[in-house]
Amino acid sequence: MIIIKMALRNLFSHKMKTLIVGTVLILGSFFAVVGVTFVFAISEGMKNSLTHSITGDLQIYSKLAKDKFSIFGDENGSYPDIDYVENFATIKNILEKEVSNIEAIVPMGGNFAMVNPGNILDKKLEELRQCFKEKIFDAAKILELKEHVHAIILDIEAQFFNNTASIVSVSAEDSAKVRADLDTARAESFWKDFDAKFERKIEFLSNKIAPLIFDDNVLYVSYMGTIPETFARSFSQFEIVKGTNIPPGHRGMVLTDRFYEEEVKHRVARRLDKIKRSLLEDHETIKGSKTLQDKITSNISQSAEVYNQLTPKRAEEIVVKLQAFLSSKESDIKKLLEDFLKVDDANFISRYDFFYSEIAPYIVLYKVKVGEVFPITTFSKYGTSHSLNIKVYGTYRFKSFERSPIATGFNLIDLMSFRDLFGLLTPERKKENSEMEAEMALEDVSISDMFKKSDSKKESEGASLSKLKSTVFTSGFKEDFASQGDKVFSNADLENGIFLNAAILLKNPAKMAATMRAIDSVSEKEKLNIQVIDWKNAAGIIGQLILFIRVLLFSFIGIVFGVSIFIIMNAFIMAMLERYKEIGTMRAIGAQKQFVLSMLFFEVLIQSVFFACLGILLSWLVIVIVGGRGIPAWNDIATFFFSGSRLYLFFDWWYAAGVLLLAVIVSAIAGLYPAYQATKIPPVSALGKTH
Amino acid sequence: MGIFFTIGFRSLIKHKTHSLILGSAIISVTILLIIITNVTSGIQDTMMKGSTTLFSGHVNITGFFKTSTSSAAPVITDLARLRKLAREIVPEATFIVDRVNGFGKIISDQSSMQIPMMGIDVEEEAPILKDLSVAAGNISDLSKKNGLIIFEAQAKKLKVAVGDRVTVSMPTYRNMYNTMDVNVVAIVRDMGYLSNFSAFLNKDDIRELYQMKEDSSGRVMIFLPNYKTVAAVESRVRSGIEKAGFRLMDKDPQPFFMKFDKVAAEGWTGQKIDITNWEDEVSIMKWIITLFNVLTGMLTMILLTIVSLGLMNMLWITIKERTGEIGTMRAIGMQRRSLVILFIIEPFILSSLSTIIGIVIGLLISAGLNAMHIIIADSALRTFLMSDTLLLSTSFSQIIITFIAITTFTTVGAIIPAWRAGKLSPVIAMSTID
Repeated sequence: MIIIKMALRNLFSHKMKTLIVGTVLILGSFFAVVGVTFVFAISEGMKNSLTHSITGDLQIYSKLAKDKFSIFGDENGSYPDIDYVENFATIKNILEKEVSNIEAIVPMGGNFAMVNPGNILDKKLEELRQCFKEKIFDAAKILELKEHVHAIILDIEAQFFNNTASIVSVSAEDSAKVRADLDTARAESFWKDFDAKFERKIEFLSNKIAPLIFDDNVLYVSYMGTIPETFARSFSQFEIVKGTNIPPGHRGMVLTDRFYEEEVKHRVARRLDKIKRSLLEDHETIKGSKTLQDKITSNISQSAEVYNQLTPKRAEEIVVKLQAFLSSKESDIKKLLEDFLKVDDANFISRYDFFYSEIAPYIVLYKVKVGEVFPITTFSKYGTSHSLNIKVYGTYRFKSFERSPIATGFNLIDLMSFRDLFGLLTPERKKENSEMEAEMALEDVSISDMFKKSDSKKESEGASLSKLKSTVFTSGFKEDFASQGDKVFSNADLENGIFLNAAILLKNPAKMAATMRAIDSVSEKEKLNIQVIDWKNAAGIIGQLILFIRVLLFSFIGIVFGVSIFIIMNAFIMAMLERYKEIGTMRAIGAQKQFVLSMLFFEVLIQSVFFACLGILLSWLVIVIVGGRGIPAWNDIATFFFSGSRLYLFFDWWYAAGVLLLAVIVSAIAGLYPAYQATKIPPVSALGKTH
Repeated sequence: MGIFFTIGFRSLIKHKTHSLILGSAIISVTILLIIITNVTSGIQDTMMKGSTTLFSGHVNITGFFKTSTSSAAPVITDLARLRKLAREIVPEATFIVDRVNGFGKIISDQSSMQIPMMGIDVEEEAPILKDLSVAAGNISDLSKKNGLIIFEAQAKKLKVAVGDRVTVSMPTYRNMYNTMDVNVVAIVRDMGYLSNFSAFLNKDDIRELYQMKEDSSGRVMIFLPNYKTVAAVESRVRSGIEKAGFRLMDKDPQPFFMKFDKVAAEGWTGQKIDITNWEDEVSIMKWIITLFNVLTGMLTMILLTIVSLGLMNMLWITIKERTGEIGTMRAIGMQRRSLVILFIIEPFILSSLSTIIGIVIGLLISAGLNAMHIIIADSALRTFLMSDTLLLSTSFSQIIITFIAITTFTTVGAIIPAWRAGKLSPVIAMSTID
């Protein structure tokens, strides 16, 4: 007890040293706790985004895979070549029976596709076609659409000959063909009997005129083939946002809501939505946020996307409404829209509402709408292309990761369609290929010949003709959906087929390593030819990034505490020198070396515990106040790391305890040498001068 | 002044232990800082070297051509005039070349990949391409038609060697794909992360694939003798091009492929020129440098604060011990100000000497690490460092800044104790002398 009292008294009487050591400890502990909390929030956030949505806890795939599996693609950005596994049902049954920790197995297969959702003329022609097919003939609407189509044709003519021809070398023959087609489309005779022969007329416009719009509206769709029901059931955070999930036994697609709202949605509308969310949910202001101001500027410069999509009739009506709304006398829709889109904090909500009630219903709000069918084209690794018409049934998201770019990357497609698009060289495919080759007039060359290693030097030197082939895969926009087969298939069809990889969700993730070993041995025993990796490896570079961040953090903490040891040690040594006489006196009146050591030990202990606790308390305050509100992500990279638009921090008592322990250890190490020196102070120094 | 330095030195030597401990702390922090900033500089250099070999000049005249209000092709027309203007506006340029942008699939019999490709003229670009280290084949073979140059990583994925034939397939408009058979004429060594997304075709071949006219290209790349003048040159090019009658896009420091979406939605048609520099074209990777700088900054602040505190402590106690000495000096006429200076000089000497030693050791370690050509195995680290081997590069200005920062920061900690020393009255101070 006396020792503790003495220790306390010593601490108080050497205030400067105590304060300095204390400040170092406060800084170190604060940095350590906040740093660990921050980094773990990021890495846990990313981990959860992955394991509860895309990767599951484990991933299995073929042992014969040529590349290492990485669900987000490899270093080149392409999907890794992991071969495929023959039969999902077999694998599933065996694994579920023999490995007890497995909660669910979800088959998957990823790929990228390019989708051309059709340009404005395609859309209007489709609308026109629908109108004619309706039971009730809406003459007014048909007229409106015909007028719009006519206006678009005139635009096309101007653009093609003035602009396109400046960069693309169009042969005289092609140029003449284009002119002839445009003349036909503009001719009065063409429009006179339009209603009677609408099918052929629309087909002509669709095949000959629409391709003349050089449109950069391609959607890059990254998709995952799976069993939709199983996917929805196994990932607990899954929920449908719009429409429905793909009905069992049907082909279809479910897009991620984020993809739908960020890439498929009309740009101007999308930005307005984002601004609204920032204002209402994140409590930002337009005045105070450059990001929002930039969005507004982009909207104004891209207002063409609004007025180009309005029919002439609709444009006239909206001019009148905008004039009233903005109290303006301007009659040019372009200028009116630009004024309208120049929003500020005061008028935003009313303009947002106006946009959605008066303008949005008349533009192409979504390039592909829920409930619509659209053509999707992929290229297999063999270079062959495959197309399907697919219906979009709805959109989905993962409840807690709706703003995370990681968790929202994969649009789902049924596994049957995935297999068709995958491009396996089945006998049916080979037949299709040879038909295609005939079409492309590649008489003697089979697809495999094309890729044979050749005595190429000889060939290329002799070749005067460039081996240029143009292939058009228009996949007949909006072909008869029934012919593509909205056939119903059974669950057995789905399960008894190939898959590329599968996510395994565990009942107890803590037993991951043991489960992996079990799967390996089952695979060996039953000759399943699969290999298993954990979520971190499956996430490829992202998984490694998480590890890297943690390593970086712990290195930094190590460095800080390492340097602190020096400083604290120095402070202790200085203190020893100051107390030379004092300690000498204690020894002279009978204090043993043990006593001196104990006293110093308690000094170090009390000091480190007290100040580390202060530092921890400070960090607790910061975490609760700042981290509770959430740290906003300031750009896309930050959003990615934060797994959303805000990073929330949670104070963890275990971290704090760990840091406290570390602080004590650091102080103890720093105090070792000075304490050792202190015990060597001879009692006789009590009589002498201060050293 | 000289006498203060002498006294300071003497005092440091007298208190060897503290000087060593604190000095070591400062040396360690300095070494760490030097190595980290050298790594960051290395990344920056790799980025610049990579981008200016692979897809950008120091300054670029690029742009978009909109054939319709909803399209966006990364094409510039009136090429001859633009090249001539570039020559006139930047007479000091070492090279000016032009390349055609492309994007498509390379399909071998084993695999395929989708990457950006550039159409180049090998003869014209010889001085730039010499930075490519050839693993197999011959770069100049690209001057013949139907050739392709790829990097090692891509050759590995496609499982091809020099002489093998592959098919290049490029999407043009509206689901149309143009394909061409080409032969791999050379495989070059990887240049870190950036080269994963590059390949080279003969310029005429790519023009043919896109059916582009002779007068069109993708970008005019201007290379400068000193890349530090980029900002000034860019400004000149902007005004020069605008004066010549071309429409300019607003400055947007992003790589061109990030601008498609935006440009495709804008209401204009025809040609607009975009003037960019190499940093814009790699700006999506710049977050790595920013991250390193921020982390380094934070770490430095914390460490220097801790070290400063240590110095403050040492000085405090030294002053207490030397109270008698101080009293004597004051009694014989030393002014307060001189006293304060004296007690600032001592930590200043310690920190500046330690910093210099730290800088020298740090530079030696950096040079040593460079000479070892350490290969980075971990792919995440490779992405971060943008290189396959560890590269550290030193910037003289960075060293000066480091020196000033550390010395100043650590010396600042001495101000308060020194000021207190100055306030000691001679009488009281002398009374402590035994």
